[in-house]
Amino acid sequence: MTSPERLLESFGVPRPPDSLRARSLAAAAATMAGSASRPGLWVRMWQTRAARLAWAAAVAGLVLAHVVLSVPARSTTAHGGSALLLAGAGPDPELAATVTLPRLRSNRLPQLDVSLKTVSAAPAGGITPRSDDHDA
Amino acid sequence: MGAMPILRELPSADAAAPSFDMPRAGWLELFATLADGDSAALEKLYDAAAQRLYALALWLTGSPEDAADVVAETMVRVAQQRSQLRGVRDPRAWLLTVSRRLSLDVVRRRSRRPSEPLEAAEFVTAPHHDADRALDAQRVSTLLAALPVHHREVVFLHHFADCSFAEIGQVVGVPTFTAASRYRLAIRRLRRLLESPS
Repeated sequence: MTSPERLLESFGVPRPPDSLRARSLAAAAATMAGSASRPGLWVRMWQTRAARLAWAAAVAGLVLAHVVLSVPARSTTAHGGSALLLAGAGPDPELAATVTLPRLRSNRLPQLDVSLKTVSAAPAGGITPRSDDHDA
Repeated sequence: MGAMPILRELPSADAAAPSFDMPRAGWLELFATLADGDSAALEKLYDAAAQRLYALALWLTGSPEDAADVVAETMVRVAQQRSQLRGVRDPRAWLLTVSRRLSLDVVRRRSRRPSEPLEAAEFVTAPHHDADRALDAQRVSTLLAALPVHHREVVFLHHFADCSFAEIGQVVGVPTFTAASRYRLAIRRLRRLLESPS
């Protein structure tokens, strides 16, 4: 029995139609010519003065916006308060107490240190009041 | 079980076009020339690859018109992506992959509209205009049409594009083992079809 492999080896594959050569080459050459005459985006941007100006203006705008927006943020950090307070009409004590976290207060003692001191000073089996309770 | 006439011993003929089988260095050089924008290299590329690309597209689509469109579109893709051609490590596999994807796109689009029967496609041809061999080629084409497309493509790539199973896996997008397994199943199925009396 002849194997299918030997059988396949005895045949060839069809040739493309003769007209296909000119058609394919014309289409490919046109595409190649089009892509050659049209430079890339960055090249076009670099070669066009208006595009260069627009690019420079966009970069300058971004830098300016970054500087303007970062100045209030820095002053807020230095003040130690919340940006919400700065944005509001005036300093409301109740709002300030709400939005300012206790751990961020400058006079706040570390919680771990206080607890250790309290535990070492407390009598055995007794309930040690937390420092927050004293504050309240 | 009587053997069909096509099972008789046949002389080997119609060797693969040497240009498609040129070494990888030749392909890389051709792609480098194309990347430089040399439109004359397009002709060399067409002469080297068009027949195999056309045949692959024909084996996948079953339509000579669609296969011709696939070859033309493959050439256009080469021209479009010429700036990236220098980075192609295996140009032959790259061309086969592009042609295969375009062919499968055609098949997918055509599945939504009626098409001509696949049995009418001429997948293989007899050399030297031999009438008996032409009849055999027609019968083999009919049997090949009965194979699933993922079996038919590995048979083509192995026999008519001279691809190793690793290269077939690269073109088809499957592991080497899967490519070899598909080929084995396809040949077994083809043998069963050849031995069947009908």
